[in-house]
Amino acid sequence: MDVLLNLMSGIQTAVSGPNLLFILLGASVGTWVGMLPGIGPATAIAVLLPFTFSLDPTSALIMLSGIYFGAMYGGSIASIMLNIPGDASSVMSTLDGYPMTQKGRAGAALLLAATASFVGGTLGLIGLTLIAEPVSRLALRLGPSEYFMLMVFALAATASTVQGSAVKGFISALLGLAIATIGIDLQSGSSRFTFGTPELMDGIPLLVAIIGVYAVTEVMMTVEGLVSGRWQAPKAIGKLWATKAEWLRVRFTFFRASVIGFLVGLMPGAGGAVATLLAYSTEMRFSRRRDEFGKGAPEGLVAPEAANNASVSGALVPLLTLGIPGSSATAVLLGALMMHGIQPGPRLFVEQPVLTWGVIGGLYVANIALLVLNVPLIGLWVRILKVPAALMMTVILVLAIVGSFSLSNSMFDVWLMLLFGVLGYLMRKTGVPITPMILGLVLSGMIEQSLRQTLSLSGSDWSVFVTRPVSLIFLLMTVAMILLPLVAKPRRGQQ
Amino acid sequence: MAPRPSLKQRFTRSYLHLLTGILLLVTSVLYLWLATNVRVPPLGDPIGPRFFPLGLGSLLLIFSALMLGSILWRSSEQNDADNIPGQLQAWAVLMLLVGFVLVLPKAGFLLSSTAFATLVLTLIRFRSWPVNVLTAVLIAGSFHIVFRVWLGVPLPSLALG
Repeated sequence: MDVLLNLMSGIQTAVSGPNLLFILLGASVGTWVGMLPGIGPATAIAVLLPFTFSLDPTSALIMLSGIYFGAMYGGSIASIMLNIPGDASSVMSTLDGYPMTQKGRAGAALLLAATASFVGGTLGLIGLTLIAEPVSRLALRLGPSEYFMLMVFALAATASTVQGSAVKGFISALLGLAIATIGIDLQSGSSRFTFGTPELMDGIPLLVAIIGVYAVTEVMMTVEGLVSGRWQAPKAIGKLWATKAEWLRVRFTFFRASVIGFLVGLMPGAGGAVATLLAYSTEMRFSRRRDEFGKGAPEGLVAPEAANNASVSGALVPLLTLGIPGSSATAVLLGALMMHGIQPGPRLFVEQPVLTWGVIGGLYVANIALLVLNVPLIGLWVRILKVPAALMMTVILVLAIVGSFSLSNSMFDVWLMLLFGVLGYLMRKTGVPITPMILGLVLSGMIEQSLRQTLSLSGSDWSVFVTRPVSLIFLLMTVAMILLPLVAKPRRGQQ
Repeated sequence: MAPRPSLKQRFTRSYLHLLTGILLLVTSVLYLWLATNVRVPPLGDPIGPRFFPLGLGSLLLIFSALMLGSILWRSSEQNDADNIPGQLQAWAVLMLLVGFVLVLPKAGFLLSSTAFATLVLTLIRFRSWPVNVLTAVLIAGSFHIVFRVWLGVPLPSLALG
C-alpha cells in the first residue's frame, strides 16, 4: 500500500508545474538525438545534460528520464528505417525491423516498436516499483566488505560480458579505476597523480569524461563513417498500421520479452544487449514460424524492443538502491545525480523520497508520453532523419564544449574532455569497450573506501572476505565472471 | 593459401592497435612508478593511499602486456588501414576542435563557435560556403540564446562573446 501511495505522490510530482513540460521536452529531444545513427541513450543523455544545469535536481532528473526513454525509442527508429542501430541494444531490432521497412511496412514496424517499448517499459517500471524499496532496505544491512565485493562483482561482470576479448574489458575497467585515483585521497589527504596541478586536486570530473568518451568519440566515428558512405536516406514509411494477424502473433511476445528484459537488466553489466539477444532467441524458440525470423517477422521486432525498454527499469534497480550503475546509460545518469549533489545508494529512498519517487513517477509519465507523442509523430520523426548528419555532428560538438565548460566554468575541463574524446576514439577503434571504464570511474572511490574500511575494521585481516557469507558469495561470483570467458572461449573454439 | 603479410605490412595494418597497446603499457608502467611515490602519512588506515593504486597498476600492467602480446600475435587479422580517408577526416575534426578550444577564451563563444561550425561543416562537405557560414551563425546564435539567455548557463565570453 505504501508503495502505491509513494508512486502516486511520485507521479503527482512528475506532472506538477513545469515537470510535465520537462518530460515532454526530454522525450522529444531524446527521441530526436537518439534517432541519429550511432547515438545511443548514454550519448544522448551526455550531450543533453547541459539543458538540465539550471533546473532543480528533481526536475533535472525527471527531464533526463524523459531523454533516456526518448533516446531508446529514437534508436529504434534509426534501426528500423536505416538499418543502423544507435547502440548494441538496438542491433536485434534491425534483424526484422529493417526487412519490414524493405517490404514497405515501415509504418507497421514503427507502430509495433512503439507499442512494444511502451509495454516493456511499463512492465519493467512495475517491477522497479515493487522491488526497489525492499532491495534498498536489504542493502542497508550490507557492511563494507559485502559492498566491496558487490562492486568488484559488478565491475567484473561488466568487463567480462563485453563482446570480443575479455582482456580488453578488464583493461577498460582498470583504466577507469586508475583514472579515478587522480586527486586528493580523502582519507589521508595525500595527493595522487596530480603533478601539482590545482585543477586535478578534486579528481577527474565524471561528466567531463563521459561527455568526452561518448560525444566526441561518437562524432569522430560518425565522421569516419560519412566518408565511407555508410549513410543513406530513409525509405518511405508506408501505412501506419499493423494488421490484426500481426497483433495476434505478438500478443504474448510483449509479456515474455518484458519479463526477460527486466530480469536481465537487474544484473550489472548484462544490460540491453544481452536482454534483447535473449528475448529474440526465446521468441524464436516459441515461434511456429521460425523461418520468418530475420525476414520481417513482427515477433522478431517486438521481442527486442519490449526487452530493451524493460531492461532499463531493471538496470535502474541497482543504480537507485545500491548506487551501482549496471549499464553505460545508468552510469551517465549516476554522473548527473552526483552533479546535482545526490549520492544514490540504499539511503536514497529514506533521505530523498520526493526525488526518488518523482523520478520513478517521471519514468511512468515519460513512457506514456512517448506513446502518445511518437505514434502520431512517426511521420515527423522520419522526416527529421533526413537532417544532414554533418549538421547534427557540428551541433553535438558545440554542445560537448558548452557542457564540459559550464560544469565548473573551466577551460581545463574542456581540455580534459577532448583528451577523453581521443582516448575513447582509440578504444573504439581497437575494440576496447568504453562502458567498463565509465563504471570503473564511477565505482573506484567507493571500492577503495570500502576496502580500506573493511581492513581497518578487521585489523588488516583479509579473511573477512571469505568468512562473511554474503561477501563470499559475491567473491565466488566474481571469480566465476573472470574465469567464464577463459573457459567459454576454448569451448567455442572446439565447437 | 594467401601469402603471409610482411612485417611492414602487418605494422601498417595494425598501427592503431599497436599504438594503443604500447600507449597502455607505457601508461601502466608510469602509473605504477608514480604510485610507488605517493606520500604515505605516518598515521592513518592500515593500507594507506598507496596500496590501491599499486594493485591497480600491477593488474593494468599484466593486462596491457597480455593485450600487446595478443595484438602482435594477431597482427595479420587486424585492419586499421581500411578507411584512411575517413580516419584522416575524423582527426581533422579533432584538430578543428582543438583550435576552437584554443581560440575560445580569446575570441569568446559567439565568434569562435561560428568559425568552428563553418570549418567543420565545410570539412564534412555540407553544401556551399555561404550556406555553411549562415548555418554556423544560426547554430552559434541558437546556443547563445538557449544557454546564456534562457537557461543562464555560463559560456566563455570575451570580445564579441
